[in-house]
Amino acid sequence: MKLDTNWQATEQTNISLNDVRGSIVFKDVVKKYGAVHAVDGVDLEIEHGELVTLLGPSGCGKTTTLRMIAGLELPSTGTISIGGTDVSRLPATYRNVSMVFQSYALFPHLTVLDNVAYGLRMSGTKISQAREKAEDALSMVGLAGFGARLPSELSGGQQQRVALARAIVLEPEVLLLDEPLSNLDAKLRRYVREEIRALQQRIGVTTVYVTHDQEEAMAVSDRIIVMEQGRIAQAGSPADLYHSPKSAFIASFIGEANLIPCVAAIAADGSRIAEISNYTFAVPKSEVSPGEATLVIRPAAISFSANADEGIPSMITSAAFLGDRVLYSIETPIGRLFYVEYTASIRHPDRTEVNITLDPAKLHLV
Amino acid sequence: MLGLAAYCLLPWYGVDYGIFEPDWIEAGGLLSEAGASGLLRMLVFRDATMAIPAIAFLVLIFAGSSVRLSRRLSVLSMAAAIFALCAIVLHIKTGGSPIRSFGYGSTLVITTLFLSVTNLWSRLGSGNRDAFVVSSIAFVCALILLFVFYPIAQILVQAFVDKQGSFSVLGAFRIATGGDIWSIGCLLGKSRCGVAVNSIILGLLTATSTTILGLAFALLMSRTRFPGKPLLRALAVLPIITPPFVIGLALILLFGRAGFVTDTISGLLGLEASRWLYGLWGIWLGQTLAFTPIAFLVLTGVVQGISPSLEEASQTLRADLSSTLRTVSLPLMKPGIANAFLLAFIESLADFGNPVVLGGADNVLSTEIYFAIVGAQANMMRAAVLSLILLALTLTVFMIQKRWLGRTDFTTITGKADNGANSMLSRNHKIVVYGLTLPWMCFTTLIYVMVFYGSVVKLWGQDHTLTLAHYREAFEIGWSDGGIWWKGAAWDSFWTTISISAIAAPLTAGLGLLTAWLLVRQKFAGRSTFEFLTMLSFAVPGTVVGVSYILAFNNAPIELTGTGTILVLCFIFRNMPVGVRGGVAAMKQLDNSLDEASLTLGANSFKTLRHVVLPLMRPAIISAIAYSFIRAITSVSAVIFLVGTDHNMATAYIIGLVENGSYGLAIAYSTVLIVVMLVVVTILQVAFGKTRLRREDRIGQQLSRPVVA
Ligand SMILES: Nc1ncnc2c1ncn2[C@@H]1O[C@H](COP(=O)(O)OP(=O)(O)OP(=O)(O)O)[C@@H](O)[C@H]1O
Ligand SMILES: [Mg+2]
Repeated sequence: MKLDTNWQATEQTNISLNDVRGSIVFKDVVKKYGAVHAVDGVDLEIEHGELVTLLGPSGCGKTTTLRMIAGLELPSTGTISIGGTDVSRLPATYRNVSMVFQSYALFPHLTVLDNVAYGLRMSGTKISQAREKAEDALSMVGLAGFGARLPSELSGGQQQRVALARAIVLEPEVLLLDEPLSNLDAKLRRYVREEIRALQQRIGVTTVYVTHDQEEAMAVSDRIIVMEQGRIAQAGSPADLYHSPKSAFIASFIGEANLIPCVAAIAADGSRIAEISNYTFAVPKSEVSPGEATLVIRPAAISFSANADEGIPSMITSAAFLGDRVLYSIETPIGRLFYVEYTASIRHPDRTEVNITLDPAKLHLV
Repeated sequence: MLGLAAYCLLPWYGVDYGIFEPDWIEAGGLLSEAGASGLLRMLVFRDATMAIPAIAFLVLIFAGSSVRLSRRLSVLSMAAAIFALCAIVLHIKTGGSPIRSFGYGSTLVITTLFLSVTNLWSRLGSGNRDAFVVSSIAFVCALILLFVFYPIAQILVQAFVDKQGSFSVLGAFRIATGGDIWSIGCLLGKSRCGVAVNSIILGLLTATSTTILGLAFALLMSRTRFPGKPLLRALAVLPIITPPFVIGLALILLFGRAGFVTDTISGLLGLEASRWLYGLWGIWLGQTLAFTPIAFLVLTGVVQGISPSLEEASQTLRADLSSTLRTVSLPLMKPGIANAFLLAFIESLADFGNPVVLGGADNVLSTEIYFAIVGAQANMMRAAVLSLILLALTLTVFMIQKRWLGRTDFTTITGKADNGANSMLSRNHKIVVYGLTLPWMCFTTLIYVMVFYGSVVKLWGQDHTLTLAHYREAFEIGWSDGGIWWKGAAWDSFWTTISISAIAAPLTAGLGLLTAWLLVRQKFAGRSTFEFLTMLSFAVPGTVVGVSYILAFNNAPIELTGTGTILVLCFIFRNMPVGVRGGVAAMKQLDNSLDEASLTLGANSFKTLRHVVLPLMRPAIISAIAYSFIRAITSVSAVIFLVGTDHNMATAYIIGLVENGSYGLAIAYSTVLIVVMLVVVTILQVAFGKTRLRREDRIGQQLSRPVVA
């Protein structure tokens, strides 16, 4: 599937040399493990300075894609270029790419400072200079003064930041992060992801970030690439993916959605309508071809009707109060719908009859 | 109950005959003075002490029959049982002369009384003390004290008793510091070295060579795309099922005075055949061949235990393959390598088979002990002193090893692991590794070919016609009127070996796994001491065990020498640590929540062990049994002191053949042993699924997850 990059076409017209540095291009890349196609024909382009997330369910090939960028796996077929040079056959050692591992992979026998200085030492920097730079990197992640400790003497969050410092100290063209937050607790996660985003913006390094948490992806990325079974299902900005999903899979994966089977038809004015039993809904934004389709109803598209003779007659089957919002489950003639209302109390308790209306501007057909 | 029956029916004192043989009946059976059971002794022969166990049993039965036991009653019955125990032991030590030994009856009575005490003790304790657990702990401790520590204590005593039977500290001191033990003359290029110095030099040489070769093989196995890996695995298993002196024999066939290579070279170069093989260099070669596979197995775990993501991280940080190995992998392997080194050092010190075959003029501690006992002037005192020196050496190394392992912490960095593979070797390292391993593999293969070839030629060095005469001499089967007639010379010791090993193996595995279960799943005071004690018996060299057993169990009250029982006991306590280690490794992989689930479902700890833990541990059990069986068949060092005329073991018999120069017969017999063990292991594997290597693979994978520092 060819990556849709139209939304950026204007910015791409004049490419300076600086923009090529740190760009990543995949051309029809396949990675096979025996009979398994872990990555099955991926084309993608990532620009200099972008923060792109790879998102998808477990086993969809995110880590494999990332490891191919790092050079830890070489593609079975297809080409990968980084910064305009073909690196398809170049092993990790010789690529200008750094990676933060999911387990952090800090060397347990080296101190924090030596861990951070390791990459510099390996590329031939003098020891004193390497240490100096490592100190700087440590203070950049807020760990100045921790240099003499061993990794095992740090907390999980601190270890994570050491791993980050170790990666950025090399000033790589590309920074790779494999589920960097998965070993942190929920509170810390939000904080650290903001830190990572801020740091990335500050040093302007091209970053590829793997996660399977869609909220995390939406929060940090310039662009999200959703993968499914080794292929790219859709790529675009967070808002793009949310507002115009290309498939039911994307619609359900990005944000909450009610997916209702329907028949798509073309109205007299050429716009689309969705037919479900004897109801029809106008879906002005859609361009889907007529026939069987799925109507995507985000909770935000639903509202309770103000008067009783308007909208679809329905019944509340459960109502749960969560403090700032109420979760409703509503039985309707077109199917059961999930609805979130931001109010201070339950307006319609269990077993009450209500009428609901759908906002056509917030409906999608896929 | 069982105890009571034994008290009534079985002979109290040790008798010279088996209880089912007609001899015993003729001698008066139960009704004679010597053969009477405890009950009869009291009633018929007016032996008043015998009333004590009777009373104790009555109290116990009374206590046992009341459902809700009052605290006072338990204390009372426990006191009665303890009193009876003490009385029995004291009675047999002091009562009458000559001192008589424990018989079936008294052994069983003591055991049941002991178990009752632990049982009652567990009921007294706070609620969560489970009777089965308490009894097991006490039982295992008592056995280890009796069969490991008591014999060693006997050596300690014997070391200070001179030939005239008088106590002599000075004598012991004189032996212990003698020039024949500690001289370092050979290092100064003058005369010979002392035996202890020989042992240490040999240990250092062997440990160095096996560790280097083992590491090279481990790297070859897991860091290259070497095509012959299955062959490598087979070669690694072979030495485990090879009796320890076989490699020495093969070396003699190759490099000995009439050896194949020696002949060829002296023929070519006109040099005179030298005797270099018979001495330290020969033993070193033999031990390196024999122990490299052990180092290989240990180091494979270490090499695979390095987390792949650490090596990958190093590569993303611009390190190439060589620097990754140098700066990340090797430093992480350092504790494991040191461990392998110390292990090989202990093995070398304790080895008896290679030195006895190849030693020639250079004796080491283990052979010197043997010759002190079987030599012209049997010198128990010297043997005991030497044993203590050897024991001190191995224990010191063992302690260092424990310390070392204890200090390295296994830092597990949390969370789900990265997938990824360990990095391959760089080109230069690959050249080194191939250069070391390939010739050595060929050499090992050649050794085994020699073993087989040597068994089918008529007379090595003189008449190389092929013949099956050696096999016929050892294993001929004839027919007589009664049925099969086991005509060959080897059958006798062969059947003894097989049956004794077959008895010892399940007992070893059972005791080992029970101990492992206690160590892993039960929390009790003194657990680490308990663990240390069980593993300590691993560090006691076989020769020392042999000496200690003849000292401890030669006379009343426990008279076992020359019986099959002493061999079985010796095997159980020598091989138990293997079962413990296997069991601990396997049990650590079973989630404790399984046990807890079973306990919350109302099963007690015995039922949990029986229905939950054991079924899940079947592979570990099978491999423990297989391994103890093999170790029992192949062991030499302890056995050689303990075999009697009725119970000759195959290995001891073969050593005898070697001493007489019947190499052909010895090698033929060894070949048969190897084949038999191969068949047994294969049957076990086929019948119960893959055992040993497979399990280690899984442990290896398990290890590769946490970061081993
Ligand atoms: N070394 C390997 N050998 C064989 N199959 C592999 C290997 N590595 C990955 N795979 C397979 O390739 C597919 C993609 O794996 P990958 O690790 O890229 O998934 P992922 O998207 O990172 O999943 P997760 O979110 O669980 O980390 C999976 O089906 C996996 O089983
Ligand atoms: Mg992954």
